[in-house]
Amino acid sequence: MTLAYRATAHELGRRFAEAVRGEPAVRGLWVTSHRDYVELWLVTESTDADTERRLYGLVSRLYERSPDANVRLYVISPDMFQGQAIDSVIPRRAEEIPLTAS
Amino acid sequence: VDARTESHLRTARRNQEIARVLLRAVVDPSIQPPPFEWAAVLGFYAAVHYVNAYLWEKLRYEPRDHDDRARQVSRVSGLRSLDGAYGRLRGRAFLARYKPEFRLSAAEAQTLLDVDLAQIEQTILSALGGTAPSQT
Repeated sequence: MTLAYRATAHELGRRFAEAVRGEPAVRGLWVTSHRDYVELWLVTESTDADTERRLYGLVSRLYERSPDANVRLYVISPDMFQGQAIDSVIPRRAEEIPLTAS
Repeated sequence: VDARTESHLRTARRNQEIARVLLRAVVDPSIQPPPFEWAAVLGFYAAVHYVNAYLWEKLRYEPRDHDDRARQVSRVSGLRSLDGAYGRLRGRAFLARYKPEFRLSAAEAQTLLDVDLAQIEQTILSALGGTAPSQT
């Protein structure tokens, strides 16, 4: 992984954090970078299908400024996993992106 | 419609029907909890073929991979309204395949098929002129 691509992942994560900032169900955001794609791990409290659908739809904002980006979003909440802490679902090397404005 | 479009529509319908059968099936009680998360995988692969049908029929475009296809859903005007439903199916299908202990209730699986996949199906079939794939 190049430093440049890691920086791209961080920037995409930062922009997605801006997009979800007003969403009350969101609890945290992590990003992992790979050779040619970026994964976003969005942790929410238990939520309804409409909210989850809206959150997935927010990825389209990233393509407006990065039309060639490969972005994979996973909206996850504790109730989706049986007997497993949500922390263990997020890759260990993931970088947490602050949700608050800097 | 083009033969390749029809082929994608037939495969989409097939995957969609297998997903419905899975939800209806009497599952072996030794499998607990019931494997409803696989309905998300089948539903996603139905969505993949609906999107492929649209892209081929309207633009003669074949997506390179899942990332490319998702980008087209977000950017092509006729598909943009589907990005939330498509993303939800893709995300849940990924979690079902790769994340240990991910589970989906029957009700959640039903919503994925009856709301998310149904929206994708209806929007794309409508855009293609209400095309129903011929049986072969």
